[in-house]
Amino acid sequence: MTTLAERLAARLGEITLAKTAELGVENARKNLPYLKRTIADLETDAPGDNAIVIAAGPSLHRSHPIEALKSADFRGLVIAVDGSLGYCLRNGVVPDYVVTVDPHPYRIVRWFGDPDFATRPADDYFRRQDLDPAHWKDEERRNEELLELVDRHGARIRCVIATCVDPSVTRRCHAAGMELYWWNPLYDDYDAADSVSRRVFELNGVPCMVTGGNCGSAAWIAAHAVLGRRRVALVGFDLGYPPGTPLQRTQYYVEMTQLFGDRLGEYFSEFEHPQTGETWHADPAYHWYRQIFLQLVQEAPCETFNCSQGGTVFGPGITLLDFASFLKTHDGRR
Amino acid sequence: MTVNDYLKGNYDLAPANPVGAKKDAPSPATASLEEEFERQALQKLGGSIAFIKKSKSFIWKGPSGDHAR
Repeated sequence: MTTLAERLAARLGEITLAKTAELGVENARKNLPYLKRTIADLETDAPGDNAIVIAAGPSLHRSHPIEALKSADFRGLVIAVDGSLGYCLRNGVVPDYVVTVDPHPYRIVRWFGDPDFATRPADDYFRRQDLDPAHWKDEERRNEELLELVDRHGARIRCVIATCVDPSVTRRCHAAGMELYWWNPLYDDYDAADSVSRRVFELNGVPCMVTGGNCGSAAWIAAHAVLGRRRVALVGFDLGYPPGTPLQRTQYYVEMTQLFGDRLGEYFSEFEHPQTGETWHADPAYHWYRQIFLQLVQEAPCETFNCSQGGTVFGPGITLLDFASFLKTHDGRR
Repeated sequence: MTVNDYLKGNYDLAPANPVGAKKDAPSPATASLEEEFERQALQKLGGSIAFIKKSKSFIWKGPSGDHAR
């Protein structure tokens, strides 16, 4: 018998399509003036086989992989997701690429430093999230710091940017001097009569890329499908909450507490990490992302190393490895 | 006389334990409540972006484009 969490996860594909497609198309229309390059322009980029995707899960702040990265002579590509960009820059690492995809109207620009921070609606999203604890400690000061860091280093970062993002993200990345490489999310079946994917392609002519449902998975896909990397290491790629996470620091806490009440426990799935033995929890969204990733990893033309030292992302096709070992094995080789 | 003597109702209630129903199967009323509960939960949930994978390729370059990778 399926659990409530599994039943909810099974419906998230259709729900997410319904919630993001029209907003994505509308944003694609607004982003048209900024379209100069696409991910097709990256396919003949720098040679080499190795890449590291730095996702923004809580393990990033538990195991601090950036220290190992800084002390290694890694010459492959470093790909950050939007939510980990600040972590990288604060710690002295300028990623080669940053990937962004979520069409949320005002939250995502915060990962790049939000010039309009003072006028945004009251929102405790960043304070509740474990994605980057720096964001819930003196948010205004951290935003100022991020504005300065992204402005200083933006010209060295290529942004792999989905056409569905809010134009505030586009303007921010453009203003910081990033080169923008556009892609359309593959929303749905492009052969269907009323396909959103085909509609947005006809609007802008930009290649569509499979998303994986979230930014971390999209970054991993870009690493092998666009940049041609054959070995991709993941850090901060958790798709779950670590043991001991207060419920208040989970996504949808307020909404789900109101709805679930005493049944809140049914909302989470448990996963015991094979390396650490710790039990991590996935809400239905993470559960959905995890199922997708485990499917995609079977079809990807790359080796995938999960070096996060935690999380729910393990299974056939994924090599669990501590990050130092990956760097040692692949150090110095592109 | 009690209140129940006056409350006759104006429709027939489903039997609490329908004949032939498995002991642990939810009653139609319970199943309906569960569906409504899940529907309300889904209204508040969602991923970052839609997902589909239709072919072996991760990239789609339009009706006449190649599916290189």
